[in-house]
Amino acid sequence: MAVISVQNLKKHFGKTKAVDGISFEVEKGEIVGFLGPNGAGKTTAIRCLMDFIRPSEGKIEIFGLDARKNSAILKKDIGHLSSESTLYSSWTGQEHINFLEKIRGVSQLDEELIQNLKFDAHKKVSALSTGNRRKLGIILALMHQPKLLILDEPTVGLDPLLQNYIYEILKAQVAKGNTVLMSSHNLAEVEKICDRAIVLKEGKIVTVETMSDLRAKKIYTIYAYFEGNVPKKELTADGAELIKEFSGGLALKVKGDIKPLISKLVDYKNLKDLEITHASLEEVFMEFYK
Amino acid sequence: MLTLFTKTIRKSLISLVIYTIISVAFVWMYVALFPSIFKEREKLKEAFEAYPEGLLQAFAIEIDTFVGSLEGFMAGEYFSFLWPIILIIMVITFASAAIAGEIDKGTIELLLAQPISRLKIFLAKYFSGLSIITAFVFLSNFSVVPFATLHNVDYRIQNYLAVSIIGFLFAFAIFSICMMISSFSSTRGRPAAITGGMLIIMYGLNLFSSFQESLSSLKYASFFHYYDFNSAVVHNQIDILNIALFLVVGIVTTIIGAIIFIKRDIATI
Repeated sequence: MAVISVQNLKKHFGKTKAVDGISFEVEKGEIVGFLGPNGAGKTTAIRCLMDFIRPSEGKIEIFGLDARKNSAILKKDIGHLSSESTLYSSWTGQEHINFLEKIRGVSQLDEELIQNLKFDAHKKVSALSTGNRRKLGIILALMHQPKLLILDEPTVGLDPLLQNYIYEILKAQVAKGNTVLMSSHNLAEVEKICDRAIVLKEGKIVTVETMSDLRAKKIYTIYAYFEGNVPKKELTADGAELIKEFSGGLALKVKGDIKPLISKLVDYKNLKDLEITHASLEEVFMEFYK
Repeated sequence: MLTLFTKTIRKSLISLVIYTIISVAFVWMYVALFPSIFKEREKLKEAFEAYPEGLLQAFAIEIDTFVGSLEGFMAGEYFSFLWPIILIIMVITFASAAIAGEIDKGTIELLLAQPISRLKIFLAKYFSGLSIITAFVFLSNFSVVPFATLHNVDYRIQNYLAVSIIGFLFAFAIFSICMMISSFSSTRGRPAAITGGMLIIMYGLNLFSSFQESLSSLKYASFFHYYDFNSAVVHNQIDILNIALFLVVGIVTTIIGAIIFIKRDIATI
């Protein structure tokens, strides 16, 4: 049974289709990244999962239960971090922790998290920097060791050291058999810690792939160097995309089978040199947003 | 639910103390003033008799009781305008902050992410607000007792109980309406503006209805007509219709507010 099962989820605000028919599953022990630029529908989808907003259509199940009907029960096992980390400005971090302990029971992890994140729990939230507010949000999401973590942009505003610490925590959670769904527009972050990425564009899923599959997408960049005439027209005629032209050569992007273009290139007597590279993950990712 | 209830009470405690101190200070001032008013009652009666009848009616002033008893004086000076204004400001402030204020600040997501149903969140907010109102109504009104004793003024305690009951019911209806508006709003200013606007119109209707005979039926559309402080504090009487109206309005709008809050989308910016 999948920890999260989403079927044909739609959320429309009037004419705006914030989420438009997405379906996906997250299995136990996975870290899955919701990837996409601002406005792709990541936060809206997360808010539907958390039952903050109600789907226009579709079905969401968490731990096999309807996420709306069993919202309060399910939240015992869910740790959530919102994208803004908005907290009570007149309270200290410790007061937030105490408040959640009264609702959810005593935490065994809060002291360790406070120490490792180097967080001053006695300062009022109004006196905390954005990064420190984020730390408090993370402590509150993790302190009751939930089986499922739903995190909206968890590392925004954190320095690289703390980002790495968060990655370690998330990996440790998964090692314990817990599950993480996190949104991000930071590809490097998703590449670093996620098992799979759900790539969203304008409310729709463009692909759901493992990180290795995503990396293995057959997109190549070919640099061809010529002596004298550069056969630009001939080379771009069969689907190869011209990236740039320079003195004595050009750079081409090729998707799919590379062999026909290579055969064509080697037939040119004036071909001086050839350089073929795999596209970076970022370039693969950008393909979805064209 | 109890955690959220106590959290809301704690958060509102300073405001409650401030509002109560302001009201108690006015009560003290009026009680301290009353012995000199009583001493000069004949001259004051003459002065009041020169006033237009409609004006006295509009502010529910009965000349004989106004100068002849502490309850009449308090009715004209305190319960007619000052106390309901403080009460209304307090009620609107709490109700607007309860739901819309949490959404406005974004803190509602922290509550919604906890294993508490939306109904319990609504009820915790609702009952904490009602508790604050109850505390304010009784603390401010019964402060008459020590000040009257201090200044050797006769008082009828049961009349203050009666005015507290009708005052509480008046506040209950306004609080419930404002909570209902707060339930479908996402900014704190909206329920405050709508409820405030509604009460200004109601106050105007009640005022105009007492000046013009032809407009007298307008008073039935105003809560201020049913908030009959004069009968309560001067005569120790509460019309059952007034009680019923405030209760029905309060209960119906509370149910609507709870349903809206349970069903609505809650998205912070």
